[in-house]
Amino acid sequence: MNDALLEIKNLKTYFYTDEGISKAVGGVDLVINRGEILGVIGESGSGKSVTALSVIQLVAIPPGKIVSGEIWFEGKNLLEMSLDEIRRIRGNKISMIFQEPMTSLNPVLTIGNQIIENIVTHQKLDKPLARKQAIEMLKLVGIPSPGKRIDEYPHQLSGGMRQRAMIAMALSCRPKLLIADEPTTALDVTIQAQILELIRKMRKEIGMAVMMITHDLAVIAEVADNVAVAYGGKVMEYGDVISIFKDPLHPYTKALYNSIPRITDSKKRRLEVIDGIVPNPLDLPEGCSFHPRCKFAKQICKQMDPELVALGARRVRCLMYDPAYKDSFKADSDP
Amino acid sequence: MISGITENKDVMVSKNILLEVKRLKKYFPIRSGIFSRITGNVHAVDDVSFHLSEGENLGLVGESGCGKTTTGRVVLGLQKPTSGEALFYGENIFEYSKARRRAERRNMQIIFQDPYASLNPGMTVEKIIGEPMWFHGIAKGKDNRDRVTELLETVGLSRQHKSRYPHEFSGGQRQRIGIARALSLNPKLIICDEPVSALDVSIQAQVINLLEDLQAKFGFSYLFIAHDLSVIKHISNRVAVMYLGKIVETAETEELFHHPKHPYTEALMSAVPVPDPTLKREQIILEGDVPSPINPPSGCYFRTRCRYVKPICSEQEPLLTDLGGEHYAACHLRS
Repeated sequence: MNDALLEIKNLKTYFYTDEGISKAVGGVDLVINRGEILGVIGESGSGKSVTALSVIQLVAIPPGKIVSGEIWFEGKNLLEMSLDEIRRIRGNKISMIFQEPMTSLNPVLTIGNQIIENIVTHQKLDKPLARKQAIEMLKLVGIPSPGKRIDEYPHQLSGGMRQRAMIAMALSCRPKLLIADEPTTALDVTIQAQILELIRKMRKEIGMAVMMITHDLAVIAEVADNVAVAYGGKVMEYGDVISIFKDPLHPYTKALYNSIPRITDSKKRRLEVIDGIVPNPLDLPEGCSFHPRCKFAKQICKQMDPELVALGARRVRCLMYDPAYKDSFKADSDP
Repeated sequence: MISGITENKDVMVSKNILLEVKRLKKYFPIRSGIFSRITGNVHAVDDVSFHLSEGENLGLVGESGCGKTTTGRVVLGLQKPTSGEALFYGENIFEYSKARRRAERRNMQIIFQDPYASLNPGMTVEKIIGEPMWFHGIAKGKDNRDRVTELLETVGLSRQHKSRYPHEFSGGQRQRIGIARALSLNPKLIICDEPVSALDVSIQAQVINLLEDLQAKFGFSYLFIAHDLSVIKHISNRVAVMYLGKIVETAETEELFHHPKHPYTEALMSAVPVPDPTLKREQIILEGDVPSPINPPSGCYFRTRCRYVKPICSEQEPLLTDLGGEHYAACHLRS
């Protein structure tokens, strides 16, 4: 555990809207070790993005509010820091890349200026030195003729190049943690492969940890060391990537895995369907948030909100694995 | 359903060909200057030919900007072709009179990617689904309402949904409404343009299975346009791969996925992430981006990113060549 770089404990981030309280993050626990790629998988409304935004405190307040929890980063609780201290960490030791680079890059500044600004702010270098370093970064992320590209505006770059430029900016201060929120979702497959390869390479070169947020199971399988499965604002299952894919425990993880078509399927098979709809964080079901869609749900699941149960190094939030409730699942199946 | 196609040409002929597209081109002019003179053309669809038999599913796959959506829209008559033919039961769609085109539209329907943008927000579900039948004089008054109920039940919704508006539904349900509308006219061909890519992962399987069930029940054909190769592989009998406005390879699905012949298809397939962390494979990572369709490269359009490129590739344009067993590829090195 002493290798933990980031530790999130019981994080709750709510949004107070006109329609009610949206419990976007309803008690998330996560650990990311140094140099590790943690994949966070979830659908819309699972709380995966809001968890990430809470870490770097970019949640819009109001309507949002971090209601409770702790976020420990290098021995300090980020939630107890002043805005100044957070600013010194954000973009420096922790940086973030987003799904759509065009909306997160400033369209009226050259990409060079945006990277240089970050370097000057955090590393107190003078401009010519910062520019040199920015060119180095652009070269590192595989942008051809970086000396020329540095003076171009975001609209002059292709989608893949923009994502590279954003990664260059995020990595310009050699962060300890990179948060990547759906970094390849807006890209074509061949460009996605380039960017995933780049993230793997940069992890090696800079030695940073990565929190990779996506809805795509296959992307997670390609890059992650450990995986957290988010649903209804909570982590439903956590484990190393091989266990999660080869031996998923939570009914949601299992069902999700069986519901996707795979390019490696040798025979045509019927996709397994998860009935119902993704829950709205404004109106989460009582008890386990997955129970209305769960094939194994029992009466108890409607009442009890399961705790995260530890099974060795793995964690699962399901009463089926909770020693106190295990039996109610057996008793039912055994008339 | 199509097992006979690969071996015997005679079987091909005896199968009813529903749609045959011949040398279809669609250029979009680029106008500039004060006189708005045409200064160039975007070669969106550049000499595309394919056919689709009754009850068959043809997958049209490619990255953004490859012309797959434009192909679908031109075939449907939503856009005028620059040149070429589309024969529907042997008759050229592009030569239909205005009235005929309207009447024939009942045989060809489309399901769009964004189920929200394609449903009128001011109309109730009953109107959305009922209007095409009213327009084509198929069912009016009580008949129309009864048929709407029947269609809603066919796609997994219920009669209570009739009086609601699109915003009251989830993404998956909206897509079901779009499907019900397409079904209302008993079409022979349904063009699906990225029908599941905007949906949550756990909802995608519901819609894919529904599309399959409906086809088994009503026997129409799908022209299935998507960028996701896993989905394409799951649903198609035959696949055509597009790159920069051209079909570079087409074959029966299993054949194409197991023995891709065109270097682009090969790279595309190896770039697809696989949800199996234990799978070790050599990935081909394509360099660079798709060239501009305004000024495509000479010779083979793919040569700028191809790892096998030879001098002939820049001199001569490769044509789709039969490599045996209904497998066609447009590559100098493979024919």
